[in-house]
Amino acid sequence: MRQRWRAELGEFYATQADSAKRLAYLLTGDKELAEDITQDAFVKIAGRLGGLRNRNASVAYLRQTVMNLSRSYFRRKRVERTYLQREASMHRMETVEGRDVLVADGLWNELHRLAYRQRCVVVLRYYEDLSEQQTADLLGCSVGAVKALTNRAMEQLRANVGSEARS
Amino acid sequence: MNLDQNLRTMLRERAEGVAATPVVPDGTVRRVRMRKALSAGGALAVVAAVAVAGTFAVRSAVTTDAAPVPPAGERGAEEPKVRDLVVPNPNFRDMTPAVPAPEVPYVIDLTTREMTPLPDAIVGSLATGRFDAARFAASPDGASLAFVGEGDDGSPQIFIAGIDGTGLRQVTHDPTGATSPAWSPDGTKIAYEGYGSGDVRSLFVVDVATGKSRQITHDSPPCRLCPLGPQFTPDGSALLYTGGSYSGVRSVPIAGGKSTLLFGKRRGGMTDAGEASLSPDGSLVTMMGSAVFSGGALRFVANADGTELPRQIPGRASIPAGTWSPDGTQIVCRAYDFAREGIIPDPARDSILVVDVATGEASIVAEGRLAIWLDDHTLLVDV
Repeated sequence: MRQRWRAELGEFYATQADSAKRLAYLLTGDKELAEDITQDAFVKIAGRLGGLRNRNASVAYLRQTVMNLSRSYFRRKRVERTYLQREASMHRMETVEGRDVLVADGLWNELHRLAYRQRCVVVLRYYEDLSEQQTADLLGCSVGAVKALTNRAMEQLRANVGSEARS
Repeated sequence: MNLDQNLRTMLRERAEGVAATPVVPDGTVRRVRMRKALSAGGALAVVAAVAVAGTFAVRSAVTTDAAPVPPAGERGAEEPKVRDLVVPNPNFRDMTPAVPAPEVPYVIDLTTREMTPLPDAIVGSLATGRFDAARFAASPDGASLAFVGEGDDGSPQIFIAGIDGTGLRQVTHDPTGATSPAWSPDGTKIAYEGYGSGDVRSLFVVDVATGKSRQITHDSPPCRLCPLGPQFTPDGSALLYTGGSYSGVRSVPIAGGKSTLLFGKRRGGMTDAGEASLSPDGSLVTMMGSAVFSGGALRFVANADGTELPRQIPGRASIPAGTWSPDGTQIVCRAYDFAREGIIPDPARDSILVVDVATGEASIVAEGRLAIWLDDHTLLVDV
């Protein structure tokens, strides 16, 4: 039984790890963190795969887990980040490697300035191509809330990217 | 192209830029990369500032005599020190052993700096994957370990074994998985994070002798207050834990009853609070969070009864049940997470910090992710 479980998990990992990692990366903006989140997501769902009836459910479950872990990261790091960013701005360093969020890409930067749920909606709708209903199911909110989040996110992106381009 | 199209294109290009994940469902990838990066730079345990092609990389928060100093011509005139960036306390000392740390969890004697890997019996039983939750807890007499191992069905479960690896056995059988073990003061019970038959992470207590578990917290989904990091109070009557989302430090009686908010939401002088750990005599508590007066995510020490404002000390995350040295004078935690925050491109971000609670003096003592005390001079370091 354990061998079968391992084989199933291995196959699931082989087929889904990359897409999980990409989703985590788009949500966090950090490749290494995305790797960690992917690993953690598989650890978390490992014991539950056997209880899921079909592969589609497994994929949705994995996607949900990645989103939850990304959100946990942001909650946990929220205050820490504030402090470190304040300190960093006081001692500005011209070259910083491995910081994807700081890459000169206005849209990418603006995406990561959005509130987490707004960013989730943008990534799920524009990258994962999920419907409003599917996005609402994943976020645990109403379709109306998804529409509102999308509108606010797009407004913010439009305003900020536009102003950046003009300046 | 309009914004929608730009957005789709940007997301697709960014996602495609993420390298393929190796088909190895464990947490070794990043560690291996860290080791390689360090090996390429020379000595593994050496701390140095190394100038590289007009930029720089910094190994750690301090320097030692053994550190390779880059040629003067390669150093930038305004090269900042790490401590100038983020360390509020200038008293960091480097006590890291000069030889590479083991690739597996190990015990380090802080007096001799001798490092000993955990026995194969324990290492071979550890659950794979990188846990934010604690993987180890030392029994009150220091003779046994509780750890997160791979259970019968492959899920993470709590095991116990002698520190020498003898007497290894699984004590939890949570359907989803159990992590963050913490021993009761009398060594007869272990608290842990699990799920039981539900979907919400809760705290449980298992009787070590019988293996019988009892659920202590009962949160309802959606779980905004999923408890984290249990620790028994010194009298064994209650658990101290972190409410989810850093919502505060709480305690809940083992016998049953409602939880009580101790720190956080402005109680005890803290706005956010978590990862709290009680000193052995129960008089002090150290925690992460932000104080009403401070902002930021910092480490604090406070009177457990909240009678004085918390005092800031250096350090980051810790394992609540193993944070305090048995004599109650020092805590062990992780050093600042420079690289992850993008401040410093430092491959060796995982360092263990020991802090003297009375003076705030701090020493980086080992490479590793988290550590617990085994006795006043010995740490078990998780990697």
